[in-house]
Amino acid sequence: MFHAILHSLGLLLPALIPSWRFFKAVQPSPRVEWGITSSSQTVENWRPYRPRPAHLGAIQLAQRMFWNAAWNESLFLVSLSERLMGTESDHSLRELTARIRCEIAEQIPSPPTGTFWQFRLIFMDRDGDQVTRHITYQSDLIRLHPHEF
Amino acid sequence: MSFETALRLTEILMALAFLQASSEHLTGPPRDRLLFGIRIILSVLLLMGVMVPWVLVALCVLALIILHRFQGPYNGGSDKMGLLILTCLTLAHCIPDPVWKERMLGYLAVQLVLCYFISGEIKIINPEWRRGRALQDVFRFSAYPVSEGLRDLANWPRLLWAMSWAVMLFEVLFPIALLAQSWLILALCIAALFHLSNAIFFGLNRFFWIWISAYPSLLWFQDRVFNVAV
Repeated sequence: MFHAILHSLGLLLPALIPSWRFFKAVQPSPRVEWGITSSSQTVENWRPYRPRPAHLGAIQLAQRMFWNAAWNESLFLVSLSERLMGTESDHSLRELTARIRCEIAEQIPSPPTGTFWQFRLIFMDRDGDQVTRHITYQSDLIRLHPHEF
Repeated sequence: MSFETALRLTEILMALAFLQASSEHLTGPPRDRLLFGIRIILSVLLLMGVMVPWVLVALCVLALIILHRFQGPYNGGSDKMGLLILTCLTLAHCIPDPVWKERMLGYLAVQLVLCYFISGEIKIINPEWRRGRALQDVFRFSAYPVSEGLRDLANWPRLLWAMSWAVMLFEVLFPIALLAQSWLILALCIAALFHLSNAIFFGLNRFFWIWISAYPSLLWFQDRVFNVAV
């Protein structure tokens, strides 16, 4: 308990004495992809987590000033991906897994039994004039039905 | 602007920003719904001006629990700004000494000036920003543009170069606005438009609401320190 309070106070400190170094440099940018497969096979059809729309109209933009829950969760996943790569934090891995699992449940409400899923992190960067993609993390295969054996 | 007015305006604007941000968690996991449901109740009490010092202390305790829950800020800089405003308001209410009360709100005002100045300064010393290349990268491959269509802006290097310099110059020159109240009001309007554009292009809606809640502290600070007329 005492350790948890100290740790939280440590997390508070950068807010009380901020560095304000927003966008000092544009760092490699993470994308989350997920896919499903049957047992012991590799995922072939990777899908982006919550792909952004092609365009947004003025009304949608105005609405998002007041309600932008899905987008802010996507930005949280960006932070979690950076933390996972930076510190290999268990918390980041748990949060990523739980939130992607929810997204899959919404996309595939009735998956066949024996289905596994997996996610990976891809970091986008620029090399000269080319945008590059590097797979930096790939999760283990996870059962879609957690109670299956 | 009097100290009491600045303090109350900051409380009201912060409570509204907390209500907006907290409501977005009500569709999240059950544990988050509980934490942010409590924050909504406390923000409503703050908005109504009920037991303000106690409500602020409770919001601080809750902020620590939320920090622990997400192992850091959920929404980066906007959460950090919220924590800074909340802490300064709480100390301004709870410290009995009137001089230290003013210093707490003054600290928030100084941080607001620094946030623009340092953000501009670290960009302007970076050749990638001076060439407009950094902003091109933001649109081309960063996670921030809210639609694929916005990525096409990366193909407009001259426009992005001009936008980069407009942002950098505004940010580094922001402290000069403290010299006259009319300049400061104009600078804060431009800054609010800047945050609005970040919300439109990059979906950073929470930054807009929480940043404008710190503005009353700076209007009071200028009046208090520089004693300037309108």
